[in-house]
Amino acid sequence: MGVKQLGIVGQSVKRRDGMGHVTGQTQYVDDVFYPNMLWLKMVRSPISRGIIHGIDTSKAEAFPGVVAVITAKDVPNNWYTILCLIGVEPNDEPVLAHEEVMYMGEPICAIVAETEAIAAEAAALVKLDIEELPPVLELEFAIRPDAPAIKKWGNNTFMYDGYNHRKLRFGDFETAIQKADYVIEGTYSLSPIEHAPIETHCCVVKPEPDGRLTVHTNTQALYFTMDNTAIILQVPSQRLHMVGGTVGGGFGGKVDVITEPITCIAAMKTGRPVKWRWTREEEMRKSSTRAAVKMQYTDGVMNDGRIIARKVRSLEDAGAYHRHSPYGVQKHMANLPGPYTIPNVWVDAYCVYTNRQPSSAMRGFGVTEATFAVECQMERIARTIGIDSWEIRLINAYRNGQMRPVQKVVEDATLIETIQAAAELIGYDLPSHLKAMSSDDYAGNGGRHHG
Amino acid sequence: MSAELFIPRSLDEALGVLQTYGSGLLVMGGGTMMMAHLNEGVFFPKKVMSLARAGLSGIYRNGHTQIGATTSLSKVSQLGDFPILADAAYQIGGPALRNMGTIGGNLYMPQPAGDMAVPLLTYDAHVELASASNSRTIPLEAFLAEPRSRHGTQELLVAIHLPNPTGRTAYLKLGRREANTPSVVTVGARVVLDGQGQVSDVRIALGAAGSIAFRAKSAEAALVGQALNTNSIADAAQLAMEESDPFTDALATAWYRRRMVGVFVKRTLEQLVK
Amino acid sequence: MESITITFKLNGKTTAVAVEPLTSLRSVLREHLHFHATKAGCGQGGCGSCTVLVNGESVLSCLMLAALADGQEVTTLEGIGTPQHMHPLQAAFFDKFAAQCGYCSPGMIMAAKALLDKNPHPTRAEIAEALAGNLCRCTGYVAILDAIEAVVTQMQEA
Repeated sequence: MGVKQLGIVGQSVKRRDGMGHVTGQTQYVDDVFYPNMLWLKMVRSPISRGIIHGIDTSKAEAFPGVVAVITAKDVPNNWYTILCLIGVEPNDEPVLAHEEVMYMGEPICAIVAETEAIAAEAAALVKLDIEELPPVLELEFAIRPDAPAIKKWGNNTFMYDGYNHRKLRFGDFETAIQKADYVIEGTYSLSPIEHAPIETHCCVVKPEPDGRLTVHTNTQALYFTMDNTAIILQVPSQRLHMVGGTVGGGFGGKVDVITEPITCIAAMKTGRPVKWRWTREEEMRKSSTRAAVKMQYTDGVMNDGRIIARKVRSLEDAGAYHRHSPYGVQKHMANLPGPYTIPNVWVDAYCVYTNRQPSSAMRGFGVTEATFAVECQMERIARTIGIDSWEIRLINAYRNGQMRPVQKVVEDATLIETIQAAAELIGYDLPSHLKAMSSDDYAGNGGRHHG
Repeated sequence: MSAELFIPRSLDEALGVLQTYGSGLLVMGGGTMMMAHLNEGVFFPKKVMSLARAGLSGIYRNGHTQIGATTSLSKVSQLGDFPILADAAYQIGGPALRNMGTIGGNLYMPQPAGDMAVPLLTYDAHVELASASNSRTIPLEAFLAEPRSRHGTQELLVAIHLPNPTGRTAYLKLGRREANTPSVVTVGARVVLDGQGQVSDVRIALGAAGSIAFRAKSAEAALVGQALNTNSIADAAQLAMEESDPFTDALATAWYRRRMVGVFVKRTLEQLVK
Repeated sequence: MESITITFKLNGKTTAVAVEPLTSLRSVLREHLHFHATKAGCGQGGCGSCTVLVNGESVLSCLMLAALADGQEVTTLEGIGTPQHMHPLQAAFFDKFAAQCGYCSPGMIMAAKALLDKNPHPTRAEIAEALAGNLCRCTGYVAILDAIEAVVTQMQEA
């Protein structure tokens, strides 16, 4: 089908919601108000790791204007395992902590009051008796055998098929690295990154006379949120009328189901509408982040620039709980070799638990981090062996028909053509042998590439 | 629990409220720091006084320059005869924040905020403090060194006094972004040269390089009697680094701040050579 | 609870409201008077999404005690235009795709209005400096500058 038949391509089309945005008429969740609405504030752990001996809410309960106090015992199914929907187990994160705290800012008890200011002031009156334990905060330390195990299953990593890391094996790395002209190593690290949406997390729940709950949420994943909330509340999902769709910035940070269940419980317990909106500090310090990662590359490279062996060890910091990280590390593992054809690959990718705020989804999580490391490493290889930055990528770029380390044959590759187009756009004249390359030049149809 | 708010219409009225409530009173200038704490829901003052209507705003010339404590940073940023004071004010926040933030309030901001102290130290500013029974004018340096709890419970900062400036001045701020950012370090410098082109008088002030803004006095001393050149500037930068006692926060590590003190003292002094 | 009564002009209309003494102007606008265009982004003076005009000057309504608005003139985004009659800045933000998630847009537009009311012919650099206190996280700054520049050009041609 030609472009002309597509109709809309090539035309400027106004945003459906644009006029509402520029005139202030768009209704975001924090713009939802109900008569008789209550406000919620969360009491959070002041320390990174400890055992809870007591939660004394008596002063908060007696504070004028406080309507309800919610603790773990009020949560019908006190487990939040967002990926239970795809079989991730075991449960590790309580909706409200009651036995131990695993990160600074972990939710412990919710105060529901007539105004937000009253809820905040009463929250400050809750007395926590927590015995502090030494926190595990550093990735390399966390996977040492002598590190304190913060997980009930006895170590600090997610278990993939019985291993403490996700394995990827392709070809024979050990033999190939011996034959390489160069062995080139590089370590690449990323700090956690906060999504920092301008709109903080917010949820408003109104109990309806028929027993349903109207849930206004700025989640990015409405059905995910509905399912997880129903599991936590132990109610059929048709009791939840989810209203979403308008998000003041998400970037993956609003995929966690961390406001809706508690706000629902508050509305059910009080029979009144309840709003819970996060402060900026909560958004920055308590919401999940992109994971911190440390990636170590060992590459075997030939004099002509061919990478014949690649070994990667990667530690990804899940923070205190699973959230999306066991899945993120899986994607991460698959992308650590990069979009290059390397016949011998060895990857060990660890999903590591520490006593830091949980990390979770953020724009291409797992993949973006790997891309950063891979492309830094490609530059390092180019400089080490004295080959051009374009050439090192083009000669190693994967071709159609080749087998990738994840046991998938490459189809519809356009990496070579994209690089060639990029060179042309910036006015860089590629040498003729690189111009002649194509994603279809894999051995068998005239290609010079190893296979 | 409900709080009580006082908005006095004169200095006398403000001092009366202060005398009545003393340490139980929270005093706001433009409110840009205190309102942020209130919005976060982390403290719950019961008696609050805003100085916004107390008549403490304005710039007066009378042989020297007097800047009222609640003069907005926007107004200060237009002070042509104190260029680095204006510049430092302009580099704080955005226009709306500068319309609210006050020069007096800025002197109560904990480091790394409180940029105004740096150019003010450079210009040898004095601050005027008043209580219901007394008033005193002390060097800014002494004011910054006094415990914060003292001010605002017994005395109010009323005005800042600046002698007519001499010499050349320069000010540089390093942030993590171009604008609207707290400081990694700030450096202010003022140099008076004699007929031979040698330094006869010099001020070098540093912000975000210690628990309070301060003058790098050994760097200053090393420059007196010297021409401003590569060597003397490098020596001063080195001494300023050694005099610094920086801290680590979300913006920068102490290690980085100390090195940036060296780099930015050098760059600031180099601007004075031209 | 002791409340105080504040009377001010909101978008040209005299308005009185009884509030807790330490209530911010932003809370009064959003939660008491239900003018929701003004947004709550950080409450810290860092993001600019709560920017409104008081007597024509831009302020951060989250950092302003509502009590200080007593007797003043407050202008919010609702006061400068409606979907039926958009202000030129609103029309330009709409036309030039300067609003993505939309959460920073009210503050951006009010900050731009404060600039243009004082300086109708700013350079692109002056526009950028006037928006220094307004954050956009969807990375729309170029489109936002383009939109405001388009309004400046329109005004010059008119």
